[in-house]
Amino acid sequence: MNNRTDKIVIMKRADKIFVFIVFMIIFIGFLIVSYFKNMTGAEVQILIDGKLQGSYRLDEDQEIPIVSKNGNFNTIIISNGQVYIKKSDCRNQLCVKQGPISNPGESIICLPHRLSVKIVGDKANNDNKTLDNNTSDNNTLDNSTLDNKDTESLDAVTY
Amino acid sequence: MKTKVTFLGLLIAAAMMLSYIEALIPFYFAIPGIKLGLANAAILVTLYMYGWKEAFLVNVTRILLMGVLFGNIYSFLFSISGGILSMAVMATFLYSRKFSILGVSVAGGIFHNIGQIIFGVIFFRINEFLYYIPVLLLSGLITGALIGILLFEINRRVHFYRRESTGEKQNDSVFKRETN
Repeated sequence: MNNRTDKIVIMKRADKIFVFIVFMIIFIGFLIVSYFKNMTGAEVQILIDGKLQGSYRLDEDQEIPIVSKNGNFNTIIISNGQVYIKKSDCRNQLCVKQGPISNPGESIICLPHRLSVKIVGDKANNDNKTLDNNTSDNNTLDNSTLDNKDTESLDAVTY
Repeated sequence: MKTKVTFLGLLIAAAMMLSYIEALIPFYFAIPGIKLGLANAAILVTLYMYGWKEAFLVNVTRILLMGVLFGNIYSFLFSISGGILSMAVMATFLYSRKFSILGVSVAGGIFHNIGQIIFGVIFFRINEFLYYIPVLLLSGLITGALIGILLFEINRRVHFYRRESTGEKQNDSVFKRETN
């Protein structure tokens, strides 16, 4: 045991080259992923009290008026891949002041109305679908996004 | 021969213990599939002590037993696909004699993840997995390097390299008598 083997090094030349190549692949991979991430059709989900009211494509410009059961009113605008709340009759108007969001994972919350608008990369959170009149609408929308995914395989980022 | 069977049994037990300990450590990230890969340490020791056949045996036995004991059919299929690919690549790297244990370990970590991604994409058509590739490669690199450094340091204290397989002169392996 006393014969120390100094010849063994932790990284030989091949190891260094290998690790370098792997680093390059990782770097390029991150670039490609972030490129596709910006292109994908993420979707906008609107929830009241944690229940999904409806989901909409982020790349289709539209104006969504939301009236909850309590008579609370919000107007949500989707335009140019951004979402914002244009009008709200809540007390503090924080949701309006927050301005537009555009990336998956971001959300706008209107606390007095218990309303939240969030952007998800496209088919996450399918499990919290609840019984409302928009359910059938959601289903068709999900199917269409699934079809898209088969044609263009790199479509969704959910991490 | 007897000692070899005993040692392989010991290594399988060690690999299973390491898998189990790994499940106990809260080492979770946002993505499923990022693991420390501690069990790979036992597999690498087997690979360096005996060779690819024995390491393959230990690896498959460990995955089979862990699948029967704690997993379900899907976790088993994912583990076995990652395990076989990483095993093949590690053996190739080792027998090429150009890589140190760190390189072999990193290759194992990376190709374990790649094997799982390939399996997921081919058999379940989960194309979202493709997005995980950079993250999983990075995690495989880091965890593989950690295991490699760990084993390098262990080998400096308890020499377990088999002489022929590594191409490195190892005059005083404590396991020398068992290997031949």
